[in-house]
Amino acid sequence: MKKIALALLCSLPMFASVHVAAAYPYIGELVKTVAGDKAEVSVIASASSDPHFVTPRPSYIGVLRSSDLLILNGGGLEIGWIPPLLAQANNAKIVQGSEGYLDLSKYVKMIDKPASLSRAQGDIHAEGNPHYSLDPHIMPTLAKVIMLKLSAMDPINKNIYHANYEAFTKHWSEKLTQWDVQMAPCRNTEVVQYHELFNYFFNRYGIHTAATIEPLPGISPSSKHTMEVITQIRSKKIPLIAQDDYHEPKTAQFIAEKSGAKVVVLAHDAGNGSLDKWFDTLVAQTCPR
Amino acid sequence: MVKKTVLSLVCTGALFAGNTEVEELRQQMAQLQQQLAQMQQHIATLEAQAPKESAVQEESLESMEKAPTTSVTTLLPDIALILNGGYTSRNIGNDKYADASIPGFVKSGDMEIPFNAKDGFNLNYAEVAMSSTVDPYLDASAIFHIHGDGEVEIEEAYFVTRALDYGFRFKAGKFKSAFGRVNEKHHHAWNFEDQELINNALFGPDGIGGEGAQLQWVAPTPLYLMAGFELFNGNPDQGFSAKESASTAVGYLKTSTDVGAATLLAGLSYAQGKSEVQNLDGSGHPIPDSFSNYGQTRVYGADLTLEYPLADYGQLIWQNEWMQRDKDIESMTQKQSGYYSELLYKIDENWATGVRYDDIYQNRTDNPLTSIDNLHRTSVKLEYKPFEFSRFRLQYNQDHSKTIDDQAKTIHEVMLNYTLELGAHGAHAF
Repeated sequence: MKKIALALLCSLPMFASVHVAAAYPYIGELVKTVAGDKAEVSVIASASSDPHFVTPRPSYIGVLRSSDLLILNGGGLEIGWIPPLLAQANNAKIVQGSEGYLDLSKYVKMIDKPASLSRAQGDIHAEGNPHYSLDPHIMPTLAKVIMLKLSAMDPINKNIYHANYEAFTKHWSEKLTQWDVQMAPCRNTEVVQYHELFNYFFNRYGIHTAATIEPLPGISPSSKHTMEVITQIRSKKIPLIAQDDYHEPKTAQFIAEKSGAKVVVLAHDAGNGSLDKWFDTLVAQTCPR
Repeated sequence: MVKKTVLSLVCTGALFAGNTEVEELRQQMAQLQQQLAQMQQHIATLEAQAPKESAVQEESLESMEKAPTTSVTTLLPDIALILNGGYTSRNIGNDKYADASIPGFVKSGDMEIPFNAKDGFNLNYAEVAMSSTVDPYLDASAIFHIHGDGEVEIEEAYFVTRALDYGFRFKAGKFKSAFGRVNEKHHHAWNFEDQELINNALFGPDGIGGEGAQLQWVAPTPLYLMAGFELFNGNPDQGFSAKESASTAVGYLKTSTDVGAATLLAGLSYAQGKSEVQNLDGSGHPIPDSFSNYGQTRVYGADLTLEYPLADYGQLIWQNEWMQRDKDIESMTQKQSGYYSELLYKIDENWATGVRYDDIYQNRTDNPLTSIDNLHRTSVKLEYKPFEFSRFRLQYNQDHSKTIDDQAKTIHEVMLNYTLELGAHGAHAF
């Protein structure tokens, strides 16, 4: 009888010390890696939706209401959807400025910072390009930030977080070496992408973005701009068009047909697979052997 | 008992064993000691490899922060400017339209038409919204609504708590009530260019709101459940008495659940205040500024919305709201009920369309002439958004809700409007 009661107790998530709300799937994966079963993670956005415009659903408020820690990508990526949810969740633990509000972008050096700001340039991010999670070399820093935050909030399990973090960095550095080797042949090539979503990944491996399918950030493709992209691909013999999961695929297909470049649909987030799988796939797709 | 005896027998047996066996035992002992020493050494190295507490503490989150990008301007409030205007065409002239009435609700000459009042060009408003965090405990916002004719109005100005415990949030100042689904929303966030008919008939163009206080509570459950209570100064424009500083009380319960990819939102609302009836002179004409109170005015509301996401930023929304007002007057309790149902189809990032049907199906007042119970209106719209912060909207209304010179008159209107949002812009709620 006692054994059954114990088994029941163990199966309850009551042993999770920290309830974490992760804005995006990759953050959720990092938290799971660092915290193991010491944290219960709820991921808000899905990997296939536009990270800028996640459709707010009241069920997200339920998640935020009962979280101890909210981890954001930051850099303005969530500005279009998190603030009203956070305002309505009425959870003092995770409001901006409290201990349970963690903005990962504060610990990352962001690129593509605009020299001047005007919406005539489209939907630009004042703080720089916020899609830094596409650089695999940034992951250990993020894991470390999460490890330190969890350790501060839940000091009892500090050693566990640290050990998990150490194991992750060890494993990740092996993966980094592997990816660096695999990507090396593609250095100094050119690519076309829809939105400047994969800049961190391409920059890391010396791949230059020759053009974007959208004329300006957040502006839908125009026929004039599309023709210019086709001309550019033809003259420079650009082999690859990086399409993402959420923009309309027709323009990329059209450009591919007219120019001979190949369209690959790249994942901008970890999805249901692990972080390893996410980058394994990205590497295999962008620099096939 | 038996086991112990056996053990002692074995031990005594060993004592009598020969020399060679003793030697073997000694050797085994030595081996064991050696193994023990090796294990101790191994433990020591493992301990050395294990993370040191101090090492963990040395690295703080603060030390990992990149150079801050803060500038002085980040301490200024977020400022947004919203412009709305357009071109309207109607089958009746401006004077007639201004004198129209909604029988049983709005008398001829009392109609407020804040948007698209003129046949021709209209600059409806320029709205300046400012908001900021005041301190660790409060956020504050103010929205200045500047009408096309230059009249400035503080549409909302309020503070909200940031960090109350147990899921509470307190708001006070001048603000719009969260009664129902659309009451709280500003014009530029409306699904159509004009207000839903039942909202307009019951509460006027500004909806329930004003100077007051609000307490909201979110349940600590995975299922979204929110309860709110509000008190406002009574306002005759909203159908409630202001006499002897009467208050209007509002309460609501809202919930939502996800059904697969779809989101279902539902709410129940209630508002109550004193009734107010304008006194009439001997010949039946209203006496200016002379009112009597007879009991209470109660408004019941229910809303149901279904949202379904589609590919390429598309979305299908079916939104419905029903309201009934029971108003005690001298001779009876007036009962007036209506609803709207709208189907919105967001095709992609740039295009959206929608239809709306408004109906007031019960209109029981003490005047048989105004108790017209089939007031209805049909609207269709087409929207084009070149960018997130600009929107062009074409809307057509066929309006059977108004009388002109006490005659029912079908109003046809076509409106082409622009809405531009400049500067810092907060996200919209669902």
